[in-house]
Amino acid sequence: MKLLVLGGTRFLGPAIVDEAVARGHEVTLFNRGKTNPDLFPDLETLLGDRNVDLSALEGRTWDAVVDTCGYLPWQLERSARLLSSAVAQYVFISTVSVYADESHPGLDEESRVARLSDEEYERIDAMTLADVTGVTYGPLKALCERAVERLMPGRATAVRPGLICGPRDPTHRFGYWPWRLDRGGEVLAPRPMDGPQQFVDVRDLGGWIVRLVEEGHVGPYNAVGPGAPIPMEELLYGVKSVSVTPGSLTWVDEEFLVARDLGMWSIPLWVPAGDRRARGFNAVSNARAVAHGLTFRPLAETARGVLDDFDRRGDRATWEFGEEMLVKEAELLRQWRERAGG
Amino acid sequence: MKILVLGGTSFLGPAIVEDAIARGWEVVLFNRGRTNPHLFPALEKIRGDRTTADVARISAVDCDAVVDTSGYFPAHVRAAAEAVKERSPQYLFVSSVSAFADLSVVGLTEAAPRARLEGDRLARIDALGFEDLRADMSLYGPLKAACEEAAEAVLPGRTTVLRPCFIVGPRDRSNRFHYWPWRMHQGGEILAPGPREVPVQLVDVRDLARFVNHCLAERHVGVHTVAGPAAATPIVELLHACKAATSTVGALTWVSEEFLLGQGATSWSIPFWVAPSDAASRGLQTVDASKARARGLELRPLAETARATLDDALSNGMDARWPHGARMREIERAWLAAWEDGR
Repeated sequence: MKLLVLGGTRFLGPAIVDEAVARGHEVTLFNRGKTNPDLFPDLETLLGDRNVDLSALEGRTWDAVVDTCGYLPWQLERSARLLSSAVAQYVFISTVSVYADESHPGLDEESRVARLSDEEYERIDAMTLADVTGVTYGPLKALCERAVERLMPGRATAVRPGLICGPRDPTHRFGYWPWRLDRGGEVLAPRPMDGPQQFVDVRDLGGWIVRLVEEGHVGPYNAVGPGAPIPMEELLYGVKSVSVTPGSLTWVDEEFLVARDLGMWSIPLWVPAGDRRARGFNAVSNARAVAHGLTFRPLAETARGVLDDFDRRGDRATWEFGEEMLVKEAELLRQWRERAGG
Repeated sequence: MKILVLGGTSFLGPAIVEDAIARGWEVVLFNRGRTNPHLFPALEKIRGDRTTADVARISAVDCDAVVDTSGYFPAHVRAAAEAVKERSPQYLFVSSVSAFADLSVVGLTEAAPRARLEGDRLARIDALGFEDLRADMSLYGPLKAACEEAAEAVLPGRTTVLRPCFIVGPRDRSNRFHYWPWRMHQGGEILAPGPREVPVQLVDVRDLARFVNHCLAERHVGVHTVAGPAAATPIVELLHACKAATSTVGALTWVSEEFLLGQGATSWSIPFWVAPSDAASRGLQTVDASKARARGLELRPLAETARATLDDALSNGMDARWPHGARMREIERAWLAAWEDGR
């Protein structure tokens, strides 16, 4: 198959490209040539900034396009209009953040999506990436999905991942825990121990997207893992199992953390049970994606992959986010011990 | 380097042989040719039963060290040590943490007393055989201790004794550790024996094998307690390490010690669970391996052991019908139902 990937050089992109190449597909990249430009020297790269000029894509055809870098509806209107006659299928990487009410457990693909405020909607065509905020991100992604579906009805696939983790993760979210647990010592673990967690290894997601294309599956898919949500306890101890550094977890009460003005994700992946969103946040249904072939590797492989990626980048010892967290953690543990001792 | 391995084809033996071959050493095996005879076709083998006069056959072998992984009775170890004492500068005997006299003591070191048989059992020690051992497993530790002493008496200053805790990993057919990766892979509701803090110890057979050969290469003699993981490990970490090796959906239900004792459970009726109230067993999974660590014992992450064990189980056809596992699951089902009723 001939595949066009928009973006493709940061995090999910390489996982898709790696799998597509491994499965014998012919991959063309379209990007600005700015992020990791040396990643795929053997692949054809069409240079261009999707916000400015798509002309590099003109006059070509592919079996499918996978769009990993669309955030604004007008971006998708332009690319989908141009590509509707050039590709059979348009796969758009969206997000579980499209849903209107993330406090609702068991969200599936039929659940209601979020809407922009009227005021924001008015100026939607004038928005730039600077307008993508924590509030507008989900509704804009939902509108992006709608734009593709409108321009390529019955030929659009919307992949809605939650937290993606694994090699090349540019964020500090999941990666903090393998890093922290491998460092050893006393590790602050935030209660509740049974707080559910969902995440998907970028390699599982990338591989599955390629198979979605091969099989021509369309429509929306919640792409979250693992098979069922796992408790925070299972996540942390599972991640710990790939390391040999002596260390132990100190489980700190939610009330203690909340009383110190800490909230959701102020400690990576932490969702206080008392947060309004807690019931639904990590309880999204993946039934449709699983029925269409999404599988999940064991947690230990993901944790190992994250540590190997730190070593590949060579920034394990100098990771700023981690160092800052260590300072914050030490102070919290000190206060926790004082409180427990007093 | 040339080593002679007594046994060498069951569980620890092959791991030692594989590690020795990887080091470029020459390996000779002495065994009956009954256990896994297909293993190591290229190696020199001396056929014979070490528990009989056959043992004299090894006296013709010139080597740098003898590794004894199959000694259970002092008479057999004495005979083997006598047979090789002129031609082998080092004798490494694989003993067990059971050789400690008092397993109620936490943090046992090599300085702790050895287990000993007393009275009539001591008088009959050289008449004891495998049938006696099978009938009374409490003989195992004192016999291993007597084996250690037998080797040291014949080869003073040239004997290495390793006392591993539970050895786990590929080729383990004891069903002990295998239960956990297998169980996690089956999924569903999994009974987890509390409290979470119960200390566990185990050593990956590959790490032990590497240390065996390390002791030969470095000529380390004397007694060494061998235990992992690298850091103190509560059972919660062991279980989750096994769970993280599979992607099957499942959830742990932690039940209390009190509940388990009420169901008739005792230490080790669930693999690696030692009841905190079982004072006599408190030392079993808390031995001090710092001497071996200081002398070069390296221990891999639990995740690697769990994964290799699961792969070993699956490649040995241990599916949902695995008889030992299926029996354990029947007990588990009954206990989970009782736990649910009690809540």
